Amino acid sequence: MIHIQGVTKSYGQGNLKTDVLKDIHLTVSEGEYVAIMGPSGSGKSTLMNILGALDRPTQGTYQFQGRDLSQMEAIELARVRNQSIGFIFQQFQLLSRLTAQKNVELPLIYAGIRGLKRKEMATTALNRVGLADRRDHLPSELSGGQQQRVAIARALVNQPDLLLADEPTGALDQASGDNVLDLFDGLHQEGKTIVMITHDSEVAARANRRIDILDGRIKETSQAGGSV
Amino acid sequence: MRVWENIRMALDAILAHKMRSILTMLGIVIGVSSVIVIVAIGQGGEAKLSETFTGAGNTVTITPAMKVYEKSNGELPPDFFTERDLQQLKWIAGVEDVITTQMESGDLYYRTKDFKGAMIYGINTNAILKADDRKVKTGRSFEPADYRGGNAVALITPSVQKKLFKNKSGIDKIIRVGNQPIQVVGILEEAEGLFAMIGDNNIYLPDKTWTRIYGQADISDIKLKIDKQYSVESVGKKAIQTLNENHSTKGEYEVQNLEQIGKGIRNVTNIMTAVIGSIAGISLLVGGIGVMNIMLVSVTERTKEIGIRLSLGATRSNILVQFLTESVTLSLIGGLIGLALGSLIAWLIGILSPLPTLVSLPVAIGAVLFSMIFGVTFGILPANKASRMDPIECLRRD
Repeated sequence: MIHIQGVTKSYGQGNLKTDVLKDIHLTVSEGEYVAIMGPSGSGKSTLMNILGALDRPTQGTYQFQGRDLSQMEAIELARVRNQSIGFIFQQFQLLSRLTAQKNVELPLIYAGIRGLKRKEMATTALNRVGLADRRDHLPSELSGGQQQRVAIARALVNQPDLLLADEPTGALDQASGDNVLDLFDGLHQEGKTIVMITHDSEVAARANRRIDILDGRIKETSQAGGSV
Repeated sequence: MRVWENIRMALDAILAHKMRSILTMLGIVIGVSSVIVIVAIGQGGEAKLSETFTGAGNTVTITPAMKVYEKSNGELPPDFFTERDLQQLKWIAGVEDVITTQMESGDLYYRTKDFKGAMIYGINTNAILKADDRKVKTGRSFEPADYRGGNAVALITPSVQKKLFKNKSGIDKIIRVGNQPIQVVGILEEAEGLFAMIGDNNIYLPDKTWTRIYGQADISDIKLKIDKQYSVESVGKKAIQTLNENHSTKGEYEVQNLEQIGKGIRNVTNIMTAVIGSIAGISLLVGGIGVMNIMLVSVTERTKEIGIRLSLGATRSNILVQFLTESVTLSLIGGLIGLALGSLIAWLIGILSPLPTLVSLPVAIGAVLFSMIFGVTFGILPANKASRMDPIECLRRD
């Protein structure tokens, strides 16, 4: 599903040029549950942005489902983000003015899905994360764990092939975090491909493959799978 | 994405900051409503003005040009207006009726009092009175029998009545006109408009009565009653053209006051346009800058929202259209409120002051369209800024 070859990402020019990612090679197959671990400044967020089609590599190629994203127009990238990738952020990133239901509907608006169909799909997604009864609540009326589950419902609503999670438990207490990770396990069992960034090795242990990144390079790839 | 989707998002965003939205709209509201009020006063005045010149009966008078009299020593040439002319005038589109009057200047007597130099009119229908805006104040108007039988009856204007009868009404009194006894049956109201300006010493007789006193006379002028749906000016011009062609003459026939009507109205219109133009320009410009300012603030404030939307699959044009719709919606609501407020103020001015006002549909539509155009113009910059943001930077913001 994901095939990254020789990807470099640099910022600045001339003497000020810094390479955040250096010659990254990475392959993720369909159905895998991968944790990317690294300290802050290691380049894991930049890698995440490239994986999520929010950013382009300076060098190298990124093949996603057989298509080279590094060559795509901005409008096509937007479509990939909308249809094939679901984002889950550390800070949930819900729109505070909108109810849970409306937040979950957002990706469907950009997918051109209208009216009743949109409502139904959003309700189904909220059901999947167990929050159907909170659909009319504003984010400020929900707990952190509940907000993150709304964000997961939003990531799921367009039936993407890849879930990208950036420190999904980073802002949550232990119980809520476990709850979210249990959801991920279920989604993984349903066949979703999940790539998760974390700096917490306990969280990373929930995935079935762990990739360590340090100073812009993938340091080692160790199989940690099965230790659920 | 549907237009409606964008409008709903825009309304959500506008309602999220009610006070700010209201203050922003205020500029547009004041701009649009002041334009509406000024145009309403201008158009009301224009309508009033053209009514003053043409009378409520919507008529124009065709007279010989001055040079006709100069050429023939003050006498009207015979056959200046012919039966054929009257027929052809009737066929011009927009002419409802062709009215002729006979007129002679003469003296009136009542007992020992007299009135020298009255204008004595012979008329063939009450429509003439209506065309000149003359209404009967006391007594009665002419009845069909008066015209049929050539009855010795007369209608007089207040100034004639005062001179002959002083404080008494004069109704039913017998006066002498050219040595014929004539009974006064009605007093007319004070004249307004044109007649008030040129003097008002008139007495009206049924045409047959008039002929009995003065004999058959040449027609000295023709009045055209004009359909309201036609322009008085253009029908008048057509009539002159027809007459000049009939007689193979040039410029010998004139429409009384046609020039004044045209010039007067155009002058007023031009001045109004200049005033409206500058006020509309300035106040709407200020309002528009207010919209732009607040949209720029809004874009900066909602950086994170933009980042979230981009990450969920919004394209740059989605974001552009979203913010553009918001500024258009904001100014459109302002424009509609301004239209309502302006119409209300114009209506109140019409009721509470002598200024006539008129809010016309094209002006209303124009105001609304104009405020939308302003929304687009002043929304482009902020919307463009929003659509060029980097999603990664946006998401990093708190």
